[in-house]
Amino acid sequence: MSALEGPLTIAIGDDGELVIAGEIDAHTAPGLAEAITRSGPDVTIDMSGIEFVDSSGLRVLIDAHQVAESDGGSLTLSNPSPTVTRLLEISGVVEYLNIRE
Amino acid sequence: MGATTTPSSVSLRARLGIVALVFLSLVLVAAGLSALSVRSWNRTLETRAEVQMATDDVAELQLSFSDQETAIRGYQLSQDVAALDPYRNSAVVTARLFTRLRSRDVPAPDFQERVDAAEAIGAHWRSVIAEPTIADPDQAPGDELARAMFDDVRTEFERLSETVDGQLVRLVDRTDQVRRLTFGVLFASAMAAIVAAGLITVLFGRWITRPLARLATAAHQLRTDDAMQLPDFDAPELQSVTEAIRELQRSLVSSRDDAVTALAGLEQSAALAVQVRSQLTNDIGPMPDGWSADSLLIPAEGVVAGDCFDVGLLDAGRIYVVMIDVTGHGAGAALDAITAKSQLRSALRSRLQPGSALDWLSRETRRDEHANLLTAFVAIIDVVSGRCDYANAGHPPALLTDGTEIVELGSTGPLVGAFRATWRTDSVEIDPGSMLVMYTDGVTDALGPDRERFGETRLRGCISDLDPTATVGRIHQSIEAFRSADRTDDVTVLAFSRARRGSTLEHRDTVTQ
Repeated sequence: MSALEGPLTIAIGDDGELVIAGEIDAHTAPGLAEAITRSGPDVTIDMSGIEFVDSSGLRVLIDAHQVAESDGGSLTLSNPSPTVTRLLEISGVVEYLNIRE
Repeated sequence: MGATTTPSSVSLRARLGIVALVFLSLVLVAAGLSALSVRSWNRTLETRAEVQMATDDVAELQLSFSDQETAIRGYQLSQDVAALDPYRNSAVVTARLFTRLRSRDVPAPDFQERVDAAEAIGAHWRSVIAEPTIADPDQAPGDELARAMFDDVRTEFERLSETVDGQLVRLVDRTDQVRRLTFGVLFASAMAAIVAAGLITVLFGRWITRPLARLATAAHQLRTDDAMQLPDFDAPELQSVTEAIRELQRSLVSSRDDAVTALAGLEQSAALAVQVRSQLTNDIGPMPDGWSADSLLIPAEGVVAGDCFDVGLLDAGRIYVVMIDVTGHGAGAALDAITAKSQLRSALRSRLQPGSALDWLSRETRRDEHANLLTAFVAIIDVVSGRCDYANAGHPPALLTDGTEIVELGSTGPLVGAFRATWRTDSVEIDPGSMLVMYTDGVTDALGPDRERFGETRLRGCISDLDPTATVGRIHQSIEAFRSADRTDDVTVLAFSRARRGSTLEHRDTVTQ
């Protein structure tokens, strides 16, 4: 792992949700996208362990949301940290994504 | 580099199997011969011991008959019955000795015949000489007859003795022969084992060790010569390894060729990248009196990113400002940024408000399914009143400061390209003695030690006066001092300052390549 690669861990929670921790950036976003794709139409992502999301990570979340909506499913982001909440507010997407505190 | 395995080549497994079979057979033969030799030696020793005991029996028989003959002579002279005791005792012993002698396993063909003859002539002597003498000493046979008959007995016992002794001598010779044969077989077995082990070592080296060493040497040389010709082998297993390495070699050569081609493509596209980058970079044109501006655009290292800005005059009294950050990297992101900049400029010059300009850009962007998402800050500033109409499409909030406090001009709608949305146009007053700072997330996301980000707090710490040039310079220096890794995103800052009444300002711009 180079100095630029942000670490991201992805696990399956007790209720089937994706529990992720670390950073979502250009290097880790593809892995998250793949995990979301494998999770089925209704996906909940526990974001409480996420410390940083860049524009690449935000794009993965938006793309996954749109794919889920078009397939009749849903993508829910739960427990976002204040840092992630700030990013979502800055990006103006709070009212467009399913966010559960 | 074709395979040269011949159909007749024998696999290593078969070769080693044959060697193992031959070696096992050799071991079995040697062990069998050794066992037979040792067994034969033991049996010869046992037989020799048996014959040795038969020799002793014969000697004892001879002595016993001599005692009988002496006892008969004594009785004949003394007529003392007590003189017959040795005769009678020896007769009992003689009968037991003959019985024992017959049970001896003496491998002489005439042994039993000699025993029978000796016993018969002994019995004959007793019936003709001994018993009549005992019955009537005065009527005993004459000395001549008695001596002659006992000589016959002695002669027969000597024949028996010669038979047994002769057999004993032959067995001693036989024992020596068998012993030498046994030692010979054991020695030959040991030598055969040594030779077989040596042969196996040689074959192992020829079939496995040396070919593997050749293969390893050739594989090592691939590091410096990827056209290296790998050796071929008769053994299918080794040839399979060679073919696998050749496959890897072809893959490496192909990858190298692809890399060379890609490098050539990169070299060719480098000029294009410089051209695209130059289109993303803007000089700030002349600013109206009372306004000054400065900018900073540090391109990402190793990639073309999608930051750009555009500043110009809509008319004599209004400035338009556009800052765009396209998500993603590469030529596609850069071209999207150029396109968006051009479309927003056209929209603003068509007198659309910033929010409406973003509405129009969104519609245009969503028609292109390959378009990247982008964030944008768009503003129109009235240079006389200081009124600033702005729209923020998911872009980091612009910061408006009067030197004491900072106001955020945050999102008025989502980033462009993802959602069917509209963007609100908000207004704020830029009073004299105020400064507006716009930036992209390349500033706040700059990576420092321990994966810490530059962040908004450090950015706000750089906004300590109302001088655009000084502010941009401080931001630049702070980021460079903070970051510990290559820039993977553009760093863009734009600062506008409205002079206090009575002040004279000028504008500058800075573009760092």
